[in-house]
Amino acid sequence: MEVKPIVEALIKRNHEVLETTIADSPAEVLHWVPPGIAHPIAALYAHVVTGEDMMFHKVLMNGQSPLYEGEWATKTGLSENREKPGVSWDQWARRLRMDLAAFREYAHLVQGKVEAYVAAADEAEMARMVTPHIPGRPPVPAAVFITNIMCNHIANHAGEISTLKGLQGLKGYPF
Amino acid sequence: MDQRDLLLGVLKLSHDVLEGTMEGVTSQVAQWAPPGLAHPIGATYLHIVMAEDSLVNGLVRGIGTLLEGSWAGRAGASEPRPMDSSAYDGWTRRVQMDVVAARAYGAAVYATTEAYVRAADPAELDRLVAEGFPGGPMPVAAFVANIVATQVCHHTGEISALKGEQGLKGYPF
Repeated sequence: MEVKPIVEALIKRNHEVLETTIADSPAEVLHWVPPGIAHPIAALYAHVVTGEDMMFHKVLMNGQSPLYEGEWATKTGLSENREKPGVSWDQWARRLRMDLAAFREYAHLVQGKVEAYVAAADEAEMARMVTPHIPGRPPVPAAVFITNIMCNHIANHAGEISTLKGLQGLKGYPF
Repeated sequence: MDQRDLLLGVLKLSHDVLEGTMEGVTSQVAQWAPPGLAHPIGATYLHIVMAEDSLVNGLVRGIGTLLEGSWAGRAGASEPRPMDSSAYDGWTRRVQMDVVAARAYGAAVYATTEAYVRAADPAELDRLVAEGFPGGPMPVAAFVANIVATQVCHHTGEISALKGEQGLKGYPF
């Protein structure tokens, strides 16, 4: 049985839940700094989308530069770029400012590119071995990379965003 | 690689990350009531594992939940989860979780889910279920990936944030 329908549905659902959970959160909600070591919503949303941009281009597109390092470098709506992978993003997360409308335009472009790639992929492409960006991780089929790394990443952080909205007295998930 | 292999990988990782995130959660951490509308970790964890039991053993397999059978009274919840959604918020703030017992129940639920998927043939994964769900009916494979595994990942993120609020490391990575 083909794996592509599973991959296609899972990435689409994760994008939908993330985007409807963020919805039109006002700036003060996005930038609210929670107590403890949790991160503000703006930083989580920036991290998850720039992470998807990076994973898609570097891993699935064979080492291409992510959009936020190229044509979108000055248009993402972020006050500064994300920290490099492997570097702590605690301080960055607390400094970052986000123009939500601009960032969502970038986010939708990234998500659209990933969905278009999966829609066009055949089973051979889904079975192609790719090397994750995380040091020490062995190569995995593209389908596994998308479902286990990219989708988990989106879902985990959507859950955090939902809780951070709830802590501010707002509804998180749309359901 | 086929659908079954992919589903097993998705489920196993989801379960592993959830349990890794639960490491270091004591009764005190689990019961901490956050401000606003967010739910305590204890109620969130119980919701995840009870929902998986209900979705897989109840809805998909139709064999009845572990909670109604061999795990009745042993799932680590001080009171049953209400079926009436309007009573859910109140339950989340009242329920007390025995962390060790709840995680043992969770492990039993994960084992039954993974064993079911491992034994499922293509016809079973293609069977339509969840007629009453948004987007339903859908094949078992889609239901397991989009509803069962995804709800684990979402709520794991919530638990990680709630640990972070209390000054604790969330995810295990």
